[in-house]
This record gives sequence, C-alpha cells and structure tokens, in this order.
Amino acid sequence: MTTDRICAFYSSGPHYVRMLRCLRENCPDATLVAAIPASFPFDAIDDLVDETVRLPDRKASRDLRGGYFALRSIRQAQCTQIVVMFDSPRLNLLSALSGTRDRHCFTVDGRFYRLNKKTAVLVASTTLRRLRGQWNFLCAWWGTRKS
Amino acid sequence: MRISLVDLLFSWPPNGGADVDLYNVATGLTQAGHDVQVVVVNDPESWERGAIHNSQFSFSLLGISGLGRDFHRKRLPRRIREAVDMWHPDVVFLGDGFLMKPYVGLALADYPLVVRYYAYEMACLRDAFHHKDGATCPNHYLKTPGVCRACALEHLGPDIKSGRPHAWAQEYLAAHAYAPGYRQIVEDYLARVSSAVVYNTTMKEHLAHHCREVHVVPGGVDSQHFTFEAPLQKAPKDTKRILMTGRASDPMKGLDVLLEAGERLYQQRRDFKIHVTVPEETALPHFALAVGWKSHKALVDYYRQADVCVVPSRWEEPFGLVALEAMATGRPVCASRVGGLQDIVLHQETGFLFDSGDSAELAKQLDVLLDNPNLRQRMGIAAHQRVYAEYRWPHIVERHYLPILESAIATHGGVHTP
Repeated sequence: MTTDRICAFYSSGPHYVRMLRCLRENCPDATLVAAIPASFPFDAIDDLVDETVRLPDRKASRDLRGGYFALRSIRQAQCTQIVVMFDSPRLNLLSALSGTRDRHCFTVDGRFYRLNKKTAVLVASTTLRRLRGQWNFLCAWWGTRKS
Repeated sequence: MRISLVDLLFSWPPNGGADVDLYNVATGLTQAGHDVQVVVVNDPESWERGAIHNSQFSFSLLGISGLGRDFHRKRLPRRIREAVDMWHPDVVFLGDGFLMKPYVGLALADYPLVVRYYAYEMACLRDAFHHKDGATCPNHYLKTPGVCRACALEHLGPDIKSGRPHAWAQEYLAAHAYAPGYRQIVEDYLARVSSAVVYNTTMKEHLAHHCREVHVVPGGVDSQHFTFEAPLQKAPKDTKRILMTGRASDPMKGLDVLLEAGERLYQQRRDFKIHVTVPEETALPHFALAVGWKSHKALVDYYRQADVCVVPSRWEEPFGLVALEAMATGRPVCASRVGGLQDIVLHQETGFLFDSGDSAELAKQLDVLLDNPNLRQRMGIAAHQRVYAEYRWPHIVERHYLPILESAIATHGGVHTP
C-alpha cells in the first residue's frame, strides 16, 4: 500500500482500533482520515489519526439519505485510498463510490487485501440481491398471513 | 461405535461456543476409540456456515459444498442423508443448526438420533435467545405459533430484504418457517428423536413434553489450556482487577449491571479496575478499561491477571463457558442466577450468585471479595477443583455422551442397517 490520504471507514466490529494501529505502523507518512459516527468516542483514537470525518450514526447511515450523506462526506475528504472492516456488498459499493484510487479490506484476523470488483458489477449485483430480498420477504409475509 | 455428527453451522477456527463444543465431543469420542465422522455444510458466501481454514482434525470431516439452490428444505436433508449413509453409522448426533434442523432430523430419523440444543432455538422463530424487550420472552413457538410467526417476520424483515440474510434468516426462508405447517414438522421431528441433549433445566422444560428423553449435559473446558495459577499476592491498597470476558458489547451480557455495581463500589473504595473485553474505542467510566477482544490464546493470561471474574448476564445464558474458563484458572466468579450459570457456580463456594440485574447485590459481593484475599484464594481453588472434577472434556464425553449414544442405539432396537 502506498502512503497518502487513507480513509479508515468505521463499521461496528472489534477491530477498528487495531486497523488504525496497523495503518499507522505500515504507513507512517500517510494522512489517516477516520470516518466515524458522530457518537464515536474520539479520545480512543486521538493519537492514531490526523483528521476525522463525522458520519451520521449507524442507524441513520443505513437508509438512502444517510448513505448519501456519508458518501458525500467521504468524497469531500478527497482520500486516495479507503479501508473498510468487512468485505460486504454494502461496504464494497460504498468504497467503490468513494472516489478513492485504491480500496482495501482489513479483516478481523488482521489481514489487508485489495477490493477490486468493478462498480457496475457491484451496482448490478446489489440491485439484483435487493430485488431477491424483497421477493423473499413478500413470500414470508404472505406465508405468515395464512392461518 | 461408528458415529456421524451432523452440523449445519460448524466452522473452524470457531465462531462460538457451539463449534468448540462439537469439536471437543468429536475429539473426545475419537480418543475413546470410536469411529467419528463430522458432516458439515459449507457456504462460501457466509462466514457463519462451514468456514474451515487450515485445520487438521483427529476425526474424519466431510463438507457438503456447492449447495446454492440445494439449500432447500427437501434437497439439503437429502444430501446430508446421502453423506451419512455412505459412512454407515450406528448412531447419528445432530449438532448445531437453526430452523432447518427439523427437516434434517426427519431425514435421519430411522437412525438412532441424538440431537443437541445449544440455545433456545426450539422455543423461538426469530433467534436462539428467547429474549425480548430486556426479559425472557413469555411466548413459546410450540404453544403460541401465530404470535411467534408475526414476531419473527417483523424482526427478520430487514435482514431478509437485504437479500443477503444471515444464517438464521437463511434457514427461516429455506425451511418455510413462516408457514403454519412448520410447527407440525417440528413436533414430528421432536417426537422421532431418540434423545435430546441440552445445557440446563430451563431448556429441558422447553422440550420435556415433546421428546422421549431429554438430558442435561454441560459443556466442558480445555483444561490443558486454562490451567490453574495462584493469584498474585497483593497488598490491601494495591489495585485489584475485576474481569468481564465474552461478548460484553451484547446488551444481554449485562455489562451495564457490572458498571452500575462498579459505580456503587467506587463511592466506597478506589482499589479496583474493571477490565472488559469490548472494542477499545468503547466509552467506559474511569474505573473501567476496554481491553479489546482477546484471542483464545491471550485470554488465559487475562484470567490469570484477574482477581475476580464477573458474568452478569441478563438473559437465560444456556451454559456460560466464560465462567468455567475463569474457574479453571482458579479465579472466583460472581455470576447472575440464570440458566446454566447457576449450575456451574456454587454460591459461596466457588464464587457468588446474584439475581439478574441486581447491581447492588453484585457490588456487595465484589466488596467482600476485594477485601478478603484469603476468600478469593479459597474460592479460586474450589472453583478449579470443581472444573477439574466435573468439566474436563474427556470426563464429559465418558460420563454423559457415551451412555446417551449407547442408550439411543439400544432403544432403537440395535444398530441401524441401511
């Protein structure tokens, strides 16, 4: 990983501080930008990061408006790389739309790897998955209504 | 005996206590001289199901992969049945799984069949906790199926709509657990199993009217890893360490109770620090410290550096492995009087029990223990001895599992011939 402006995107999980430490250690000259929810206790990471981007709290950031706001804030930070904590479709898509050159995932067991799915593929697969989810929910809703 | 252990969720390294439990049962049965095959379901898209990395086992392991559309209430049991038939077992042990378990059990029911329940999945359609709005749920799927079906749909809706459901919702959809007919499937399955194995008496009550035999069998502890070490001698004014381990971020685990007790204690004394295994960024009061999540390997040192361990669970903890681990290293445990914890911790012998949520009582108990190093040591030694006598895996397998499996074969009319 080259050293420049790295956005460390927070998700609820046990390894955020570990990820920041690891980034700090591997990229000592990089500007580390923590993208964290408004309620996140900044004291815990004060000595590890250079800048912060405050995001809507977790619940709010899951809807479309919150997601848009989060994405806009990250893009405004003009990072060259983004690191997320899970290789989920949602975070893949967010990182793909973040305007960064490189995207990485930092796993719970402490490994970095590159995320390289194309944005168009991510958008298409996310849309299809959502449609399938809505259909499954409709089936379950109908099944539950039957007595 | 030839024994097939079937598990719909087994992963290694483990994702939770059920994986550790199944691994130790399979290893213990192998070490006792039996032929053991573990059949697991692999789902490459899920970290929750069959993710097995760089592992070598003493038992034979068969992964059923390439499921895709075969993760279905008819096709999955059929594939598991084919895998089990190839092994020709004398008895089948059905381990972890959620709402697909009844279908798999029915597919295997002409074998002597022993099923293990690791939590309350028999009582609830929405999750394995049977816990709602901060208390034990008053409903039970087998008694109030209509209420439970509506509750499950409301709870699981967002996960289902995401199109990438977690393991529970995946099984809910595949099993058509939302349909009225699912309840009869569960009843038929429970009636056909030879015996069910549970962790505590509350769980036994849930199944008592539906199964022929229900056995309460505790989990065990790796007594070679969690070994006894005498606590450090501390002067009265030295800072004592109170430790809470496990998934402490989960509200059901009762961290709020421990912090309330800490607040009370802090008004009387300053010679303690509460260490909690929550992510390091978690905001805690000044008398507490978030130490991050610890690996299985690192955890043993944390227990050894502690003076007292606390398990303040708010829900009916099925077993309570963390209490057992602390006891194995020779530390007294203060635990809620819930589920399996009340069977593990002997009140005033190996620690103290307090009513769930009663932070005042917990504060009193901690006060007594912090004041008295001899009591801490005495209880720690008693705790270790109890674990050594009752909860070592070879002992659990020999004393509980082997008789249950042998009895299942005997009552089934002998060895199965496919």
